[in-house]
Amino acid sequence: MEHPSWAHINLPPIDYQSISYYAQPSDKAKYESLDEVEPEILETFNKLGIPLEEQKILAGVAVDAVIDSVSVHTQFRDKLEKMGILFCSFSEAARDYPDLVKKYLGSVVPYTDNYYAALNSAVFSDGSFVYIPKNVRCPMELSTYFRINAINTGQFERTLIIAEDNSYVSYLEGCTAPMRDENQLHAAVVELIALDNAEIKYSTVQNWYPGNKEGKGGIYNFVTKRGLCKGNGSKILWTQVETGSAVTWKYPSTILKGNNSVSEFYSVAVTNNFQQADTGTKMIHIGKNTKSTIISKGISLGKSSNAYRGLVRIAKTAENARNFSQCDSLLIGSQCAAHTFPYIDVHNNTAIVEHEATTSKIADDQIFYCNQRGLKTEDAIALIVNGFAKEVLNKLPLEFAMEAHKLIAISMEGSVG
Amino acid sequence: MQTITSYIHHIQQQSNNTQAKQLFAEYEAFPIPTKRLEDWKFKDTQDWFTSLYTFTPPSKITQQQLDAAIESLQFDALLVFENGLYHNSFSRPNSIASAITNDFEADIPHCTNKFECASLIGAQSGAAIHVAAKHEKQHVLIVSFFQGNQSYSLQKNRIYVHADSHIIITELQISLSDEPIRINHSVSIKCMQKSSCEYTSVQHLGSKTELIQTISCLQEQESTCTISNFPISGAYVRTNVYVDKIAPHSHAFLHGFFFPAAQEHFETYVEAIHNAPECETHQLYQGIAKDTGIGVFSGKLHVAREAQKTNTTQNNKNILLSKTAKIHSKPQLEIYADDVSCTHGSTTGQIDNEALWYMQTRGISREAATKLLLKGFITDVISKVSNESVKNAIMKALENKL
Repeated sequence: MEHPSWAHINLPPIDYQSISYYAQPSDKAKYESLDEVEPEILETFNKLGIPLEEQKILAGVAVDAVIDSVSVHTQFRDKLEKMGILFCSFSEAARDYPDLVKKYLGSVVPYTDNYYAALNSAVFSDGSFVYIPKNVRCPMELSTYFRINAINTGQFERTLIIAEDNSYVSYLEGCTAPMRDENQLHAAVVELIALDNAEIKYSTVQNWYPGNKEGKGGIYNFVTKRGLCKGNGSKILWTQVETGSAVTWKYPSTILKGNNSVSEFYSVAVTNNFQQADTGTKMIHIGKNTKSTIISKGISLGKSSNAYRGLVRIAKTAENARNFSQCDSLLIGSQCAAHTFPYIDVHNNTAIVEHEATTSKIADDQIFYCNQRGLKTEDAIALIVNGFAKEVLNKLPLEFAMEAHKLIAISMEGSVG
Repeated sequence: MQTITSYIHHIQQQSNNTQAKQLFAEYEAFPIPTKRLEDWKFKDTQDWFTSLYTFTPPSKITQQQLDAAIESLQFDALLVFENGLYHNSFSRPNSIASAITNDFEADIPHCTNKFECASLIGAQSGAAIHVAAKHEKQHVLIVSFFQGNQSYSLQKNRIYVHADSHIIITELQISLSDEPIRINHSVSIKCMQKSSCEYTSVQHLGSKTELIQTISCLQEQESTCTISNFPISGAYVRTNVYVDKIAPHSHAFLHGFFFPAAQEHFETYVEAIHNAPECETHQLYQGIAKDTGIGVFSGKLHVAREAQKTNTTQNNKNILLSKTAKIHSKPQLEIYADDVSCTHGSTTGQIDNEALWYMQTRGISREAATKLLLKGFITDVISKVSNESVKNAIMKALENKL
């Protein structure tokens, strides 16, 4: 396979030989106490309102094994196990539930899918595994946030979520806190499988290190995420807030195979300084009466570039399929760029497909109005941007939504003046 | 019989023109379009380069054929071509419209694709329209006929509109037989300050005729350019439209209607480049696909950093009339300036059932109601054509297809 070149991003060639493909999650703490952590990071934690104990874990401070969050974690796990829900790391799943892993792994994203999926399939060492049995509604938001041991699963992560008939699960990935990871390249693969009438809600908040103000360093985030609405009446919802990474390249997609299946995609991507994002979704309608909605909001600041790239394909078999896409871009500053590349392929005459997009900047009179009422220009812009992204942020689970609001304000800091 | 590459290679070797040599180098630099390339993925055009063709077969057209083609059209000047060669006896040139005489001009623009290069080097003739400053508006009609088994025709039109002058040009491309014919056509338009140019291109081609044309326009300050294309019939018709704005306040209106039926395959690729501030581009492309017809629209808008206060719209609406027809739509925006207002919209669907029902309750048959709605849909685009006789002729041709 050759390295793909179609994305609207610029990056130096990656030396695949210099990457370490397996890193044992280290038990050794990076810091002895919070005082040693960089004050800049702590300040961000405080702005986001993250509790002190969690701050320690996130920053990599040595944590006593009996602190609250760990016991909470085990408590949750017991409760889930009683309901038959499996939620564990991938290595445990491969050991304990080999049949399920064998049946579903690679069934949505085969190793031949793309360059990075092949790389991930070849070298992935761990990740998350979720299995929801029939007729079970998962009572809480499952999150990698609780699974402390999974934070350092490395750069080639694999997630597999299976929702059996009539089940429901909401899964959160990532967290709002800035992750100072040393790894340059992240190539994860996420596979979702929803059977009859099952619903999977997958939310991502990504705030990895975006590089410094001169555009040096930062993480390359090349992720393949795909869901399969396998059963009739199944539903997959993607929500993502992307503020981090130097280069983001991800297209959470859904294959709507079951009849009457539904998929929705909500995304906010904020790029600042020299960040580049080429992100969007693919909705492949195969089943009858399938519906999809795409709402994508791109905000570019500084010298960044933000692209939406999406595909809506209505196959011949997809009678009465319906799609609505809306992609809005906001440009703040004269050095940034916003692009929209939608692909619409319709092969069925009963389908209705709509796409609309706008690109504009914040109107001066809006800012003037806020200034007049005593808001600083920076606060006014944060307010307007939050309003712009509200439609998407509201789809996030509550506590995440609160943090995401603050996160967007923080990502924009220092860029307006 | 020879391939296009050997044909144009021969031409550029014979002429001692550096321009031809430069164009040939450009031609060689472009890769042969394959389905793996994003802009050529819907149709395999390999055989345009690998197969053997007869170039410029002898003339055969008659006065009757010409009369039938231009029957109801009004015009001030008429230029007739056959297989890319100028037809002296049938044409009615005037002071502004004639055929290209000197082979290569000083300011040939850079090619945008391999086909355009080939036609710029290989074409023996084409329309040369040179509108002097402050010339009053005229309507020039270009009629190009094509025939000959396994023939390959090259043609280039060159249009230069001086400051403060206006022109309307309509080009009809007609193939007279059902033999396999390839047509490679390029049009370069240059609009100077405060000028306007309206270019309408209509294709009536046979079921085995394939055409690829490139219409590129360079716009100076306060110029207005309107480019419309209406493929009525043909096996494969691809129109590439490039509009490049190099000075402020230049506006472009780009329209098109494609109606692929049976095995037809129509593509329109539009690229509007804004390099100067305060320009506008408005695109309206609509399509109806039936039987196993394939329609492709790809529109790209590029707004450079300097092009502040740009205002653009891009609209693509499609209707599918059968289960086997296909529509591919790709409206794209690439924006590097912040003080702009750019919107685009694309819809693909079918005829509104409620509107049909409404008309049926008022005693109109379902069939008649469908026709009426489709006619209305077509009129949206056709109404942009300013010459009444051309407008009516296109409307009539599209209605026949319904």
